[in-house]
Amino acid sequence: MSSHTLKRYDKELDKLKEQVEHMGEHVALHMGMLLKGIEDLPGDSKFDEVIESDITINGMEVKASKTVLKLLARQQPVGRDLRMIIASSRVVTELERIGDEVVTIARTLKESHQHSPCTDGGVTVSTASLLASGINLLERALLALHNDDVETARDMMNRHVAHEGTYYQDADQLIECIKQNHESIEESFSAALQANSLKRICDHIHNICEHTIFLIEGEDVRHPEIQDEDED
Amino acid sequence: MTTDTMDDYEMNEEAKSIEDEIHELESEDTETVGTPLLSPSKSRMTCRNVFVYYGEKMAIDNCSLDVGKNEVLSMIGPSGCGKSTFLRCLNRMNDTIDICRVEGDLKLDGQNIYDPKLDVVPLRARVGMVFQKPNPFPKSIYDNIAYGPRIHGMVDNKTDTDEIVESSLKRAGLWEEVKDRLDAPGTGLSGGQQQRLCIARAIAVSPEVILMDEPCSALDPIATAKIEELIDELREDYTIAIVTHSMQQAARVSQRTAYFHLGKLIEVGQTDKVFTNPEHKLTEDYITGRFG
Repeated sequence: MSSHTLKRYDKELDKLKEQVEHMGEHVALHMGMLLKGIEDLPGDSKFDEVIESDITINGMEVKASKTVLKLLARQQPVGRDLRMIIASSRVVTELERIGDEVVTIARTLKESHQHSPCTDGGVTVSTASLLASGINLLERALLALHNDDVETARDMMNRHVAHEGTYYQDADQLIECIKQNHESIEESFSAALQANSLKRICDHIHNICEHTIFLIEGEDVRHPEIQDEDED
Repeated sequence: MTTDTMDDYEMNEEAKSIEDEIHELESEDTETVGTPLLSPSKSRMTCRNVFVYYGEKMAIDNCSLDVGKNEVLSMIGPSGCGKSTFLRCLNRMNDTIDICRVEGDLKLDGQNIYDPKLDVVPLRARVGMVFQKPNPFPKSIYDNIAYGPRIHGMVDNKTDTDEIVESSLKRAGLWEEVKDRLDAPGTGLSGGQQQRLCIARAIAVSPEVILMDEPCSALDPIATAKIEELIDELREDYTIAIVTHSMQQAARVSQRTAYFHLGKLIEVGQTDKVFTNPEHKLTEDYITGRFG
């Protein structure tokens, strides 16, 4: 893509892009750290690390938001530049929320990782495998954003529907298990929270794909049921 | 063309607009908010308690403002607010207007620029100026640049002059466009090129400060973008104070922004801050288009 005559504008846009990508990589590492903690169970140290490292992600969001504000106020962006800045602003919000969901999972695991009929493998939610899948999805979404790859972004949005089905299936199984095992309700509730957070993580990744499409094609695909009405 | 006639030539058009700056000021005092003053190590020019009068009319009312080293300071405000008047105080351009009187303490690197013993000719080389309308001399491109160094005794042979002409045109981003036609008249260039020629002319005499009074108002968006990029590059070596009617331009090119209103300096601050969270209501109203 050709550069702006005002080179500082290019530098500031590049800076924002780097901030978003760096934050994305950090969130993926954050999820990987949680996965390692689950694999190493029992043991709380990794979960503590995950909880503490969320502050770094929050800091990244604040920095990127400042860059967005500065670009909007000083450069009066239009066209693709405007979409890039708006999309970046939305993506960092999604990433920060993924970070929060990862912390929620870490907290529930830290507070309750007793074995119970509903949380042992096989029957109910497999947090580790869904988390591993989430990391993969996030990395692909970020790569699509980096490469302006609208095809991948659209493909991932379609696949997200299938993933949602898995979560609902897990939730149904969990409810059935709780009905039959009243004594393990606390552990089961934790598992339900984890399942919800995992679903939210995938929702945020789905949203990142929507923002990627907005950036590249200028099309807002977030709520296709809403009619686009010109209010001028 | 003598030095005096050069200054006269440059100011000819500008003087016509002085009356726009004359107005009745509001009587109540307004204290400047933000950070108008800088530490001595950071400031290139210091201005304290500056008052400017055109006859009996006050155009600038007690403004104190520093211009920092290697910074671009933009001055914004509605027509008649005094921003151009204040800019012209910085290299005594107002001296040539008979009815104009400047009071206050204005210094360049600690030296009082209104010292009666000070020669304004070298001062205006140290504090160069670029005007709203490109005003190349009716001479060749080469001579437009060479004229200043010659009259200021900076060069005494062709080799040195050639060197200054080339380096100034390169610094102004014009060399590649004119290097094969240096003998062509400067007035034959496009508006944007003429303005960059005027900037090259200012640079040629090794100024410390460059004043720009609406340097892009007569230019198209592409030529404007080139000048803005040039301003950003020049900041590495010079201090720049720019008056602009375009708030967008002020936001793009400056590190600090000063907002004037009816002859008073209302607010000064980091450009990021002024354009995202100004402290004074008048500034907020102006930048958000609620008046002016």
